[in-house]
Amino acid sequence: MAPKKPTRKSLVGLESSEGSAEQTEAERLSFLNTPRPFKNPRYTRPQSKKLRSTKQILAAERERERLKREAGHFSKEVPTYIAIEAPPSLLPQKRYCDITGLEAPYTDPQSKLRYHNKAVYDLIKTIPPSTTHEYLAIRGQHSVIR
Amino acid sequence: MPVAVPPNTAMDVDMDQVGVSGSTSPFEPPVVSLSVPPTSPYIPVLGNYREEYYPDRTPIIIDNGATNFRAGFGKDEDPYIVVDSLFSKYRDRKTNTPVLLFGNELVDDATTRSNSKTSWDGDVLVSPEGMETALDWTFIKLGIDDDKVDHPIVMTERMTTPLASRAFVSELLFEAYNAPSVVYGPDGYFSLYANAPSPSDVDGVVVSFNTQSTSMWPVLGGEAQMNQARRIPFGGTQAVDLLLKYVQLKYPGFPTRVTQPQAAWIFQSCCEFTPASYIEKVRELRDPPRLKQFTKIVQFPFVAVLTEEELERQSERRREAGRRLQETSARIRMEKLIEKENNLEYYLKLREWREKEKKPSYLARLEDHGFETEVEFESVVRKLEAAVTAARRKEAGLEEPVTDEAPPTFPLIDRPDGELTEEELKEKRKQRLMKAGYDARMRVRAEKEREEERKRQADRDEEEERGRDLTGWSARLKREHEVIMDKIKDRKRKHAALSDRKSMAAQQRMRSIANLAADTPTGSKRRKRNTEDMFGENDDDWAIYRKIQGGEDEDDEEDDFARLESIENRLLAHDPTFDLSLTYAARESQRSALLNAFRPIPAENDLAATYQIWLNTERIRVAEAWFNPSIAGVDCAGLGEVLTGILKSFGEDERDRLIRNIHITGGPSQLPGLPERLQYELAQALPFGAPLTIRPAKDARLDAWHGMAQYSRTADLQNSLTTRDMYNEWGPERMKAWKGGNWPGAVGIDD
Repeated sequence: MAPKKPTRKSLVGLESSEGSAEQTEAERLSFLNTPRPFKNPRYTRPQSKKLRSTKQILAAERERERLKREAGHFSKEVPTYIAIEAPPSLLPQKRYCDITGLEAPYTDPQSKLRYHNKAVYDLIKTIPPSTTHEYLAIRGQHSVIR
Repeated sequence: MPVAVPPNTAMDVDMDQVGVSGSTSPFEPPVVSLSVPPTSPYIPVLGNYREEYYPDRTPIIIDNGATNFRAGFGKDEDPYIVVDSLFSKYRDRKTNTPVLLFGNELVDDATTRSNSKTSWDGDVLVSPEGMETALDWTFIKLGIDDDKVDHPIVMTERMTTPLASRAFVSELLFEAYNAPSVVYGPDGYFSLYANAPSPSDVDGVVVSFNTQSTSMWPVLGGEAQMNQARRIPFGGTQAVDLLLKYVQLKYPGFPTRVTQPQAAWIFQSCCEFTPASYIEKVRELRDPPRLKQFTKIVQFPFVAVLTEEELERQSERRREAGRRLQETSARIRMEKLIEKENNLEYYLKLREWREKEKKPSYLARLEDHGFETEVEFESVVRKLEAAVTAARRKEAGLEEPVTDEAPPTFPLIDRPDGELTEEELKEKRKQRLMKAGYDARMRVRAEKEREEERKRQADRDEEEERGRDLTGWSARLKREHEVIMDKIKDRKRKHAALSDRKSMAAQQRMRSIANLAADTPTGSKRRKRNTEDMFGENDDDWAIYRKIQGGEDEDDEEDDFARLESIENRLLAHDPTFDLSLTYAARESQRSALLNAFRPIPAENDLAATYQIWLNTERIRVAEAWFNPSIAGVDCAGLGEVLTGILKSFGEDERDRLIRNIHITGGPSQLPGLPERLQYELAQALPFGAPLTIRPAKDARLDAWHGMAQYSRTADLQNSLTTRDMYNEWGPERMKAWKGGNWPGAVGIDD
């Protein structure tokens, strides 16, 4: 952040002395122009790497892993961010009713919703397809239309 | 003894109350009012920096979390700053001044909120801008007025952080703030550190519940075993989102929008981990009364109903409007009438000319007024006359004249044609037609009367039957009632079946259509022998067209409903055993006890109830996602399975050292039931009598900061600092290896 120009500072001072009533709460709390003596005045954030997306950061991680592997430095002992993600479950998956959360012995072949009993089935019959879609999306079971 | 009396009576009263509420009044779930606490107020700039912290260059401790940002000096008890990790930068549209806000100073207005950003994406630190804002603000608030931040910095980073994230933080610290040195470590380690009796050689497993993920890794002799680290991509935010989705789907028409902070509050105050087996708890909740017992109701704020007076005033206003409308229409009617009367008067005057002048000039006069012929003129005049008289009568409040004329006479009909002139023959033909119409009308009227008589007779018969044998009568009607309901149900089923292309009914229909369209219909064998098409000989043949029509018999349906209604009305009127709950409508709207306990439909006039959210299975369902992430669509093993896997990779001695201290920390770890549940899950995979102990952090929110402050006061700090020189030599991604730190990018471990 570049240091403030003195003109700007005096301007702010004038404004606040004249009509602080016109200053909004946000402007009063804003610290944009508060002095930062501790900061290196010559420092500017590298603009090229302004805001990196997660994708780019993770791609960099993968690239680093690949380079290390090629250089023969790779060891399984030093995990990367990507490698430590927990593996898929090996336990049998329990099925729960999409509506009530109770045990679900049945699946509606039409909507693919899991349901607990006949009463819930009757309810399923009345809900619109978009809602069905949302229920399935919670479980990550919806088909994504592109 | 007199002393013992008061407690005894008190207990008696208590017991009574329990008895009463248990037996007579049905259980009503507790109602909690939604009360999201306001954000903490403005933090002033620290005033004693020069005296207190500058001389010793006290380390600055920063817990850089995705939800909360905490910072302070290492020699203090608690962090000076605990705020939301949010920043907002925008230009005010009215005053055109740029605004930069951080943490709790984010004002609660639409612009600020819509511009608020976080430095995190998921659990990855991505925004250098956000970090710079956060650190600027922090150092301002800490009152640092030196020309650099001349303090060692202890800061958290994500477990096994991507190095790009660390790189820009280091760059900021060393280049923008000229900090002398820094040490990074995962927050969970410091929480473990803060809770250990001898922190420097602590054993245990860190289970850190973070905002966007949950991480766990073992620590042996104070050294983090990062090669065994695991992360589940499900955290507090995902849990709140999950709860929000469940609530939104359960209450699709909820009168207010449930916001994220509200959902977070509900999550914290109503949700819990199931202490033991989840599936058993769920089986227990199958029972509607149990489900209701487990329910908590969240009451959302609402504006109270209008008072009696206001309602009265409102209806008065409505009545007034109605009156005005009536007056206006009456006035318009009057105006029209006057206009018509004027027209009529004018035309009548016009007609007077017929007598006064010759026909051609009269016709020319008519043509001037837009009439082609005299007949047309006459008909218009007649119509006007009729309209005026009718309107006058109406204005005077008279009814339409009753058309009770005597039967018309048709004198010409009975006379033979021969006697009649040309004119009369024409007239006779006309009279014959009119007579036929009149007779038909009379026949219909007679038929109607007969029908009414039949109905009266049937009613009398039925009344007699009812008087003779009420039970028999009602049984007959109920049977009929049942039959019609079955019919309706059947029709519904058929309708549903037809909408499914593959159903039996739909296929049968297609076959019929194909058969009809074919040149050589393949019917029964008998028809094959007899090649002549006899379709239509039997009246039932025509039923095929109704069959293939698909959405058939709407008329039948209406008839059935009418009959149903009449039966129900009669039963309701005369059979005391038949009440409203037995009617078709009531049966249709009846919901199962389970669904009623799950989400009752509030009464229409109960405004408070429409602003309530019932939570029952959701209370355990949401937190269960940590143990079974597939519930939330996350394809990965749950906490129990992952932790068991980690423990399995150690020998028995080391494992026993680890399981004595399963340390749980982070916001969501404060939900009730978690220690018990972990105990239950891990004990299954451990030998009987294994020294398993789950230890929750004393202060799950602040212990990471406490641990860092504690660490900064030990001599170990000096050996773990990455200095400016090291930074210059190794570059921004690397750091000095230390026993609690991450391994990636650590010099000496990750080369």
